[in-house]
Amino acid sequence: MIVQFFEKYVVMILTAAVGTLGYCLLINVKRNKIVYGCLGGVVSTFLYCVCVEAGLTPLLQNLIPAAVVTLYAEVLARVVKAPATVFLIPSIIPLVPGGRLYYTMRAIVDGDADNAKSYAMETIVIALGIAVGIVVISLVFYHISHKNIQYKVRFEPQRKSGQGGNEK
Amino acid sequence: MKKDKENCEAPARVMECALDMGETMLRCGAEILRVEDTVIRICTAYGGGIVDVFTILSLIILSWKADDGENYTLTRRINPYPTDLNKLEELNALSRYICENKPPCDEVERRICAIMAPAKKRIYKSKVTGYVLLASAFTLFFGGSLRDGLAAGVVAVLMYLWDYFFSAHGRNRVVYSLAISIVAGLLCILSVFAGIGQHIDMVMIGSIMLLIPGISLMNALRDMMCGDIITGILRLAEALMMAVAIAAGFGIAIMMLGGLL
Repeated sequence: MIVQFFEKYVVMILTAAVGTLGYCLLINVKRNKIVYGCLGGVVSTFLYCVCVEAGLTPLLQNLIPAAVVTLYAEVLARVVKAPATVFLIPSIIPLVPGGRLYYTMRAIVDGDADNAKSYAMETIVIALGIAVGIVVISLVFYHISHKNIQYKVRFEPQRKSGQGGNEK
Repeated sequence: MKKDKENCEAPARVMECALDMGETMLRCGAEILRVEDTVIRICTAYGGGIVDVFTILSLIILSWKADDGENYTLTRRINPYPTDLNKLEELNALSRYICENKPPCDEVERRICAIMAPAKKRIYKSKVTGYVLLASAFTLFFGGSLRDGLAAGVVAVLMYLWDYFFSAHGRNRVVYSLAISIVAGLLCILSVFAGIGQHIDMVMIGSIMLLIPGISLMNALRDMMCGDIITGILRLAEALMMAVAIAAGFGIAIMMLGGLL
């Protein structure tokens, strides 16, 4: 079964790695961090394929990889000390519904209302899945990393000497 | 916080530095939270006082009640600029350095200028490679044949050249996406007509992946999640308009030359 899985999806995973590499070069990611972006792209594609094989709905097919990759990017950002965006954006790219966007447009140009509607619906559902996946995990990290930040406020009964929030 | 007198800078000077940092980070594609955080940190690193900063996509307002009791306010208009994560990383490292070491403002400005120095306008091999790899790989990813990948690579090189000669700096990005999409669509159709590619769908999808506003969309999400709804909506609206412009551009190309196929 594993062999069959790889036979079916090996092209997708390899091309996702190469495509992510291209995207990293495009947005000028630092050379020593490109490999993390590619790894993220491979992880998201692999999980997407697993979810497709498991027969999940299109929403979950994109939500789960997006969530896992966000976790990966946020953890890596704290380990390597770089903004999480640097790892997150290349990792998400293979999930982006570029194909659906094209088919939606094609159906509209051809005047095929039924197909246009269903493709547009799929595009929106995929985008929504990715968005929810990113937001859920990022929200957790946001609250962890901003728990200790406390700026000086105007109406404080007594001024403290420290500014707080020394970690970034 | 202990203050050393010899390292004291005029508040207006510090604010300028802080705004320079904020502006450059925002232009390179940082989230609003990161920008505001950086500005507040730099101001409070050089002196106590209370800092108020408000940022949206095109504006930073910074108001500071410094230790000398005076109130200072500066605003800065932000112009659009292509996202550059390399510069963003360097700026992030610089902001850490500033908060830890409090260098003189002149040094800060020198280092910001060094990071943001406009690169010489030339054809970057890494960017061309990036374009080709991205377009070809995603053509294959969505199920195209090898010849489709080759056609998408050729189209990608031509799109890079278009980008090089008519780049979008400071212009309306939505209109620019529309224009480049029409050109890309025409090139895709011609490449299939010339017999390089086999499936017009796949070649076009590969080129669409080059143009998709992934970063705007991602930053929109991150901003909204951090509570900066205004900027999130601005970025989301921009990303959606760009997506519509890309679809429309390819649609126009098909309507113009679709009869060839």
